[in-house]
Amino acid sequence: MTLSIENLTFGYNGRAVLTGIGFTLAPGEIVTVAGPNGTGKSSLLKCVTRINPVRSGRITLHGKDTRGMKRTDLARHLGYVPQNTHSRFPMTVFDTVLMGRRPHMGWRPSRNDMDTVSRILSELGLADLAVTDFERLSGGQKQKVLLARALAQEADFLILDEPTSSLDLKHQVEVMELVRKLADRHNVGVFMAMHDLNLAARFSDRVLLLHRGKVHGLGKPWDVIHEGSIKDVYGVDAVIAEAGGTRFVIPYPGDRNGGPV
Amino acid sequence: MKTPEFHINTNGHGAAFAEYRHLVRKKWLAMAGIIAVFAAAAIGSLASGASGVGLADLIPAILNPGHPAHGIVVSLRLPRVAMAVLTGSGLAFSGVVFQAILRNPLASPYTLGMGSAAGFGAVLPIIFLPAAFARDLWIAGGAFAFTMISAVVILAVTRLKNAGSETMILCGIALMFLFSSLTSFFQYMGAMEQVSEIVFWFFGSLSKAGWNEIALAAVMVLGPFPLILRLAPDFNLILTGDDAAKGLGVNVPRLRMEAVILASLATAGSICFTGVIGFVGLVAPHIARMLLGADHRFLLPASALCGAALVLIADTLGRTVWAPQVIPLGIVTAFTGVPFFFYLLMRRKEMM
Repeated sequence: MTLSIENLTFGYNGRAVLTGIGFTLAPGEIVTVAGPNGTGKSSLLKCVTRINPVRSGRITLHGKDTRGMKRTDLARHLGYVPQNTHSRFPMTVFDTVLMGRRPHMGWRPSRNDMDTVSRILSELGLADLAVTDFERLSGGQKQKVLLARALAQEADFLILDEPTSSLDLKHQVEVMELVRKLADRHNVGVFMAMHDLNLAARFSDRVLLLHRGKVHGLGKPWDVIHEGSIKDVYGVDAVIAEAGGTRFVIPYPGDRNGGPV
Repeated sequence: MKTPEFHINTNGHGAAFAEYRHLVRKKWLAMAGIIAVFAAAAIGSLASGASGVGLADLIPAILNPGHPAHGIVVSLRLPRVAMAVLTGSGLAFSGVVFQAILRNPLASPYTLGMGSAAGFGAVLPIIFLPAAFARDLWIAGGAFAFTMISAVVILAVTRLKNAGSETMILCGIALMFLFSSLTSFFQYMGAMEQVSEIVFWFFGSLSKAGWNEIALAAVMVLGPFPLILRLAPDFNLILTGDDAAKGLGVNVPRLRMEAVILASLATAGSICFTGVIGFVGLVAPHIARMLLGADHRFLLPASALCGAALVLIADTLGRTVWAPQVIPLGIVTAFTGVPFFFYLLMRRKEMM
């Protein structure tokens, strides 16, 4: 099962947001889309999940055009985690994760639905929070619960919109390790948007660098992320430094303690 | 990733499941409590009134047509109780629906302008039709028609603008102001007895309904209920956002449209024969939510029962406290509902 995006174009109010985007996503692979604010990362994710209407181009799941598919059928293959999720009404963690069974279940959750939810909760270390109100969780816990919900969909691909955006350092790494594990162990294909180039490079198989709605580069992280592309896309001077066997992007303009040494 | 094989600790797994099962059992318990209160309210309402026919006479009076109290219980009290149940439950579950699709705890049939629209629809025949002209029927028809008109306007605006919940709420509030000022205009221009009739309609009353009206209201209120209940899992999903719901397979614009049509039909059925009993549609959903949570599969039936019980209790109090005077239903509903609502609000720990 491959997710393939061909020549995708999207816009609203006559303004083109995305033009000519194309890439494929294989099972077990993590592809991260990076790029400046407003460059169309979230729009691209929503196009792939068909939350945004695609103007032209094709999105296919194993050769089958998703445009002809019912939303429920699509949801069995694509799990989507939006950037901000909050509810003004109390919902327990268990109920929230149970929502992920929507594409599979009838009106009443079956024993199998319940088992799947409890299994995923304990796998992610959330079993103790089962009957806690979702809104009372910390940012990191919420993100994990939302991942759990997407997992309960038993989808082949996960589409994640900035899964680490509001998390502290520890939870960023925790969530990303979890995502990596899902790809490696359970063969889930992951397509996600992310600002942090270092995290993206460390955990992704490939990076798609988006610039003004077009693909600036697509490939292995450090082939795509370099001084030149960062200058082109972000308009920022940066160096790629190495420490502890890993490379890092270090932007330096505006550093009050001095520029490059 | 069909059926992923997680390597898990089965103890932890069982714990989450057991805890959730325990929670669900508590919800059933709360539901049983609500049913008991509802039943008590219905029986209490049948067994009380100015004539003094009480609980002991109730069963014989209903079963035996020759019983001296038969007329009072079957022709006077029973239709009142039936109308109270329909009005209360219809307003309550449409309140739940509007709160869900608008993701707003302040939403109710009235915040969407439907109460004022219905009021204006009732005002037109009061002002323009002579009393001989089967006017009561026209008043009900006008209230019904304008409730549906306000629903259509809101749907059309959201459809044209491809807009979400905020636009719907703003649109509803605009309609509310429009129709209240139109009503005020006619109150200002109207003759004295017309004005008092308008005021009386807005107080709300269960005494206007005979069995024909009850049958019509039953179709409009009970008809949409199973269809709405069928959508309960999707209402749960839409609480966490349109995009999340779409990603989980919900056709959101269609859900909103179906929900508004069904809920406004139930609203129209609830208020066209009784007048404005506004408070129930806002508060009964919250009472039910505080008692057993926001899962709509429980919440919809529970709030329907709460709404019915609230109107039954209010009407019984209105008929008995100051008997033989009857205090208008709209007034008593707020008097009985608000203290209970405040009590729950104070007792509750979590945020809304």
